[in-house]
Amino acid sequence: MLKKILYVLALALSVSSARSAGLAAQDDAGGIQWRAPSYATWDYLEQRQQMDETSWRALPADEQKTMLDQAKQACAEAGKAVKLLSASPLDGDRLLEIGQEDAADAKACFKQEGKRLDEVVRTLNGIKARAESGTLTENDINWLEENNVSWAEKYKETYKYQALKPKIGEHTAKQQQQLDKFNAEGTGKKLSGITNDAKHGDSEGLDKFYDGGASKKDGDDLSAPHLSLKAGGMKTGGKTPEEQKQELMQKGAPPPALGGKAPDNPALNKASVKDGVTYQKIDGNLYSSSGKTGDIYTMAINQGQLGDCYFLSSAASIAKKDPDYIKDSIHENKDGTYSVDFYREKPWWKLWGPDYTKETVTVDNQFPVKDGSPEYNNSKGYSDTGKKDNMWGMVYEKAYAKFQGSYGAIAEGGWPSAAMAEITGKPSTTSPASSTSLDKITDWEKKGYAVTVGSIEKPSNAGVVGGHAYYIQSVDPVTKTVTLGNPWGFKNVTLTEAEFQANYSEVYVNPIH
Amino acid sequence: MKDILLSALILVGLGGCVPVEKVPGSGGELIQIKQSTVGTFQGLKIGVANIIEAEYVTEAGVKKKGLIAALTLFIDGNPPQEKDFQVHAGQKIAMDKYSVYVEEIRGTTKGLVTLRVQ
Repeated sequence: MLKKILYVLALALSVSSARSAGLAAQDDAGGIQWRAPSYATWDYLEQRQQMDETSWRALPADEQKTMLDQAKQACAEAGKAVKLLSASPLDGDRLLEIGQEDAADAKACFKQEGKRLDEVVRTLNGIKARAESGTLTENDINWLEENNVSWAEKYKETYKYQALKPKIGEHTAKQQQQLDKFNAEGTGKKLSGITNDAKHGDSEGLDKFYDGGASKKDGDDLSAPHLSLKAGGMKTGGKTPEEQKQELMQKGAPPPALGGKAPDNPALNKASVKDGVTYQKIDGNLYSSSGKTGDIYTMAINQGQLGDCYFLSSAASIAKKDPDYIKDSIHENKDGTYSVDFYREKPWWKLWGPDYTKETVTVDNQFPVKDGSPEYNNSKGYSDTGKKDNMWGMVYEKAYAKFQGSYGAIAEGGWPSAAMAEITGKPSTTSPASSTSLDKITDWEKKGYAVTVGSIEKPSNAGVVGGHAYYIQSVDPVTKTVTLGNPWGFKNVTLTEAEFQANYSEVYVNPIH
Repeated sequence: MKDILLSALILVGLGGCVPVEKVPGSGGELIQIKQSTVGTFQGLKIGVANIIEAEYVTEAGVKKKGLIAALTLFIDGNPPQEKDFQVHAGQKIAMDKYSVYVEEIRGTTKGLVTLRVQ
């Protein structure tokens, strides 16, 4: 009893002293007045840091100073971005490098100019995505011309080329003749290069890889020295250690090469084992080694033989909206393993406790491989030293398989609403796509929410994969279209509002934070 | 009660009735890809978008109603190449240095395509 009383007294004293310290910072230790006119970054602090007067007054003076310095730096960076708007013509490539986050900073720091920058960046992203998926529109070309963007000429060519490209299975002799003529003149090659530039605008590592020689391709992954497995020389019981290791790996056991200390691998799904898929070590970088943060989702999410589009779209959507959230949820351990945070939903019958409980799953760098290529989700891009880049998607998928019990457990479809909640620990909402407007999606996007969608089983639009999950890549306010990212890493689709509503069944939204 | 049992029997019966079309081929590597997933052969990625029942014309010029699969072939090179095809069993398609023979198409919802790729 006495202990309890002493504990309560100590707690009361500590709370009181903490409050005094906070007040002292405001009153005595040179606290800075909220919205003092001598500082120009109050809008940034309000909009980007969710700061208000009460929270501000509670901060110690040194933290106030630090926040103001950081805000000043962010606005200085955003100022450089805004300056790009005064160039003639507008540099499309440099504007795209800015990213939505910097554009949002600019909007907070510079109001009108920032808003304009944000709009330009969004529209350019939409145009880039449509150029990539071969769905550029006349409006896109008009917009580029009206706004004097450097891309106008080359995208005009892309648009012409696109018009000649036949739809699914509809090669008419005339179309093919035109297309061949176009390619023979060299224009096709040039145009393809342009769309590739647009697609891989941020992938310096990838570009260097390709520049390094055309002989390096996906299929050669495992011939690279960094991916080779050390083969043992001793024979035991008629089998080499390597043979024994492969046998154990097929069963999902930890590889003996790591001394049994390696985390258990999730069991492969049965069909893959039958096909000769085995675990093999792949060294690489979690993210792009060039240090750029943009587009981590397109480089890391490329679905393979598993039916886990619902999970990969969720991961892509969250990575797109908040790359740091993904980075914070994957921890690189000193022993070369990775620990990934997921959230387990409370069982329906449990009336007490939090709705989601954090669970950390540890995996190593062995992945299911067949004939030298990762069989499930794969990454794009290589570092200067030839190591795989952007491997967080492979790590994330493996950890999710372990979280759910096995690769087989995630291979047969699921709900993006549940997957997003398991990544963020925040519940998702589901709405019918038939009544979801593009304005509503834009609204969610602006709030920083992750948005995924599920297609109907038998879509009428040939570009839409049936019974498949996609993530929102962009909504174009100019052409009133939405571009949906396919977790395959290709076959993205751009649709009007009516096409979207007719071909999709549900929209899943998660606030992330 | 009788009605429920009858419905259950019909459902079981329908559940077992998966449409299949097969024209056996030879050579190449056999790859099975489920609808809405992606298979890989060396640098080639093959996505199976949809499987539907529709009319098509065979190589012999005969009109036939049967299963058609929408495939997307993708090579992530510089530049990347992407091409859509609608195929039936027994059809051969090609892109770049790869050739794909469609050996079997199975089911329309969550179906499966068996290919020989080389």
